[in-house]
Amino acid sequence: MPTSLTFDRKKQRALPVWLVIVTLLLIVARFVSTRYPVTSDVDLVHWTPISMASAAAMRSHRPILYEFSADWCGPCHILEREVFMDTALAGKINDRYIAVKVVDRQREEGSNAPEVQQLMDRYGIRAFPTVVIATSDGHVRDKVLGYTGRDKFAALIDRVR
Amino acid sequence: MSLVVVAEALRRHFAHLGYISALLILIIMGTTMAAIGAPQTPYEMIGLFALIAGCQLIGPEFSKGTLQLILSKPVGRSTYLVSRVVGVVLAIWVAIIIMFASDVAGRLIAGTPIAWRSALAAALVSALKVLLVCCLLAFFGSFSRSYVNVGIYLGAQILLSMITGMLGMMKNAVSGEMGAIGAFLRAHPDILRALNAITNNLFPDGPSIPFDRNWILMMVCNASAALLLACVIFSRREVPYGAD
Repeated sequence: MPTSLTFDRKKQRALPVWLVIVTLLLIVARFVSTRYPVTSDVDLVHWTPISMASAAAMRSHRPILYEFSADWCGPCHILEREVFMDTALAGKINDRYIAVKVVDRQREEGSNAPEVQQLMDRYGIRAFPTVVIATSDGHVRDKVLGYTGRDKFAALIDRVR
Repeated sequence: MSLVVVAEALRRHFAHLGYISALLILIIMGTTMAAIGAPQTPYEMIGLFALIAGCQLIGPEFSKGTLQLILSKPVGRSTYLVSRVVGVVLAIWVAIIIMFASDVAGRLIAGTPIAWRSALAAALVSALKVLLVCCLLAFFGSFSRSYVNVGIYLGAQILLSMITGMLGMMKNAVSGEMGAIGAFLRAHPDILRALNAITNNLFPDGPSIPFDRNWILMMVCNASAALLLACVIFSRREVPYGAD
């Protein structure tokens, strides 16, 4: 019988060397890459810290746009990708609103920072994402629960000109 | 990699009535939802598609006993497994391309603007999630059998999120029986951090930034590691004669 047709158990059970090399290279690349997070170049909305939002809104006579989100929330990431990373929409938000990002850390850390929890209680936030448009003194003008698409969100932003 | 195994995996999917029906549903959903201006949520359906297609990554040949026949040819076990994963992933990526085309078509029909950057980002996120899910299913299947791998996948996902959620709540407890656990968790925050890291690595959400280099690397790296582990386990596994 020709040797090519014999059952070579050792050869059959060998690991693909290329997969081992690729995996090792990827692990190294990932380790190096995490030292350089990708954030500043694409964050198009100018987020204002919670503590400064009211004063900034009063000074500029603009309403506050609160985005309530969480790291584990998939639709929040879609909202961020489709709206806050969109040059045209981000520009409108920067021009017309004082934008404030409020990130819930309940699941990760067991509790939120007092200022975050205070805002969530005030606006009755029960799900993510929720976008609240409020006046500088805190009165709700609009509240949108969930992400219903870029076009509907663009219409919401256009309510203030 | 064995092109014959890849081609066979693709042929099986393309000729399967379930696959064709799923594609039709995706086309209808993608076009309709894009036409009404909904976000790219139909891509979430691709995840379910990957679970259904991936549950038989190793299964059919193993359970029916035909794996013994395949392995009697000069095809290495790892080659067979990698080729199967590539075949299944390619079959689902075809569905993603069709989904993308439906999304664009829906927006053209409705006359709404197409945000190419976010549409491409959504397709890429979906494609990478499919890659990771299939590699994880291959890993879970390498020591179990078809359908059980999906059970392990879903079980691990539910269990991890439950444990993380419960520990997150317990961390706040200051009195009673839970108080001691809460104090322990507060003193050792790395426990919750580690659990979150495991969850994020195995069952990640999409990135908040389109084309996030770190997220893409994490997905490819984890998929590659899962596939390598699957190869290691599968190459040492006994393959029974006949149906098991």
